[in-house]
Amino acid sequence: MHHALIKNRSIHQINGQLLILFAAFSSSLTNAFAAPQSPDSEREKSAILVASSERGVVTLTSDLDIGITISSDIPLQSGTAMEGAFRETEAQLLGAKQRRVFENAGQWGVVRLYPQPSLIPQLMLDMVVLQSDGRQLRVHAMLTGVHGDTLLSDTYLDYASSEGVLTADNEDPFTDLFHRIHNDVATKVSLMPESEDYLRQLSFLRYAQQLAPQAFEAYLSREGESWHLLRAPAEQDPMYQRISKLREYELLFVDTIDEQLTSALREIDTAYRLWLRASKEQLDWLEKRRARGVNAEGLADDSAFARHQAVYAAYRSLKIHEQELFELVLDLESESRSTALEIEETVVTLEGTLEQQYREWREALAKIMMLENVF
Amino acid sequence: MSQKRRQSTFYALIMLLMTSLVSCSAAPIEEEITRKAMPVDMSGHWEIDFAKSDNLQDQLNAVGRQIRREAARRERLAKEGQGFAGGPLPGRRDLLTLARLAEIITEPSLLEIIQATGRTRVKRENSFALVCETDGSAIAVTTDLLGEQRCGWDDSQLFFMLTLQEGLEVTHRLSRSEEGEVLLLVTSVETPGTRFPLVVSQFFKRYDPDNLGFRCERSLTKGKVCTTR
Repeated sequence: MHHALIKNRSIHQINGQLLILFAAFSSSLTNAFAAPQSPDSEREKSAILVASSERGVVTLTSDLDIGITISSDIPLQSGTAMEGAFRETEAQLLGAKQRRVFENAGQWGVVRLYPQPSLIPQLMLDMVVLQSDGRQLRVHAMLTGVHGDTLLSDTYLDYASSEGVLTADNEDPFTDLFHRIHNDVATKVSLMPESEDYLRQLSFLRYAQQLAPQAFEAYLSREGESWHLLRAPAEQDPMYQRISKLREYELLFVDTIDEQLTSALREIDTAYRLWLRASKEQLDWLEKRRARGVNAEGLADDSAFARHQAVYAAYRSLKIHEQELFELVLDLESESRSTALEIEETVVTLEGTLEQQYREWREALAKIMMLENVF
Repeated sequence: MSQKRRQSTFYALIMLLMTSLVSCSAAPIEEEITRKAMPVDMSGHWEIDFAKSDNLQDQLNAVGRQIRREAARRERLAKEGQGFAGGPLPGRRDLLTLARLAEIITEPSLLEIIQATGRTRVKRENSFALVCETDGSAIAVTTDLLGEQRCGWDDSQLFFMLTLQEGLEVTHRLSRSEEGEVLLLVTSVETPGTRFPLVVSQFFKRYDPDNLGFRCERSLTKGKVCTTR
């Protein structure tokens, strides 16, 4: 397998313009799971250039559950709200693709996409999309164990391998990147000294401690960002059972949202691939024009009409693809604004963005926990 | 000349002097590009009214006449020994380029306008939609790979100014009649070669797509899909 390393710079030349990459990390990692946050410099280090064939599966048998969160940190080109909504949805789509690679590997426990980092899975993969234009996909991935250690923190860069890949219906142009991340995660996990049982207990108790700090503080110890399990509670412990129930409720929310998203993202995927192709074509075309611009004789060969017409046609084509995709995203956004869930014969309706709904849901669970403690 | 007439001439001279003094001392007046935004509801389906709309050939002839007048003016100035400012006048080939571009740009004959809070979309048949995200308080500027778009409301007119690579400039200005049944789309196309914009006015009237008995929608992913009503 060929792994070339290229220097990642603080200023990247994108689309002919110098754009400063805003590397400020998502501030949503506010819960107890938060490992040392990836500083700006973390993503500035060398990016791993993904080779064209990354399918080799690292041999690993693990039943650890993996949670994936993904966000977009791509500077908006047009600055419109529509583009912003599109980038958010694109991140979800890429997260779903990454999840599929983990699932297809068949060597993990449950793999879920979470709106925010969670303590339920034993491993949390936090991804940030830094660049996506049909030609390149640049993603930062950080893997954190429930014990608080950062196991992996790298930036991955993949180029659409060929025009042929972009035209094939069943092939994703950047699938190698997801395979590479999967393989790196598997390699890191295979080196973890902790047993699966230990991590599962730790995950449960850290989740419990988040909901009822006083009741569970004696089970855990903390050194800096690292968490250790001191002892395990009895399974017959009523508090243990209550926490298990609440954890199931939280998973009910995550899975309900997941079902909604999966079908919507499937619809968007076709339009997304067409947009990737259109965007790549425009970038290639612009590059050729820039290269030809050096040679004045080459430009003189084109008639004024041909040049203007080509510019207008390229703009028209890009806009048509972009608009179809944006419209789908807007439809998706309006559809997934509310979620109804049934817990203990009560229907709870949540409104707002996924993050808002998730926060609302967690608050509802915390309230249930408090009420149960009172009685 | 009567005294009254002399007096009025005197006052007129004073006024003229004062006006010129004021205009000399005052700071340059900044020209306002747009007027206060007064958005109107343009939403709905619109089809072109060919009878009222400009004929491209006529508009091209108008530009041709403009160029001939400018050529004559320059010739006159040259004969009088005076210089003139300005680059070379566009030739026949430049005009042809302009006309062919305008033909492509003004091709859509059906529009669907969707207005929501802060966002207006002018969907055009067989072309890209003109989208403006503005609450009316400012001009919205969006930059793409291939150019820049400025849009906003100028009084009750919605305008889009596209500046694309190679210096191609396209302006669309939409206005609606008082009674709301007629829409005017004025498109101006200008290339660096001509410097004389070709302006095409197209009138649109409302139509109900449901009355056709069927409705077709074209999308990249599904192609053209027609459904009966």
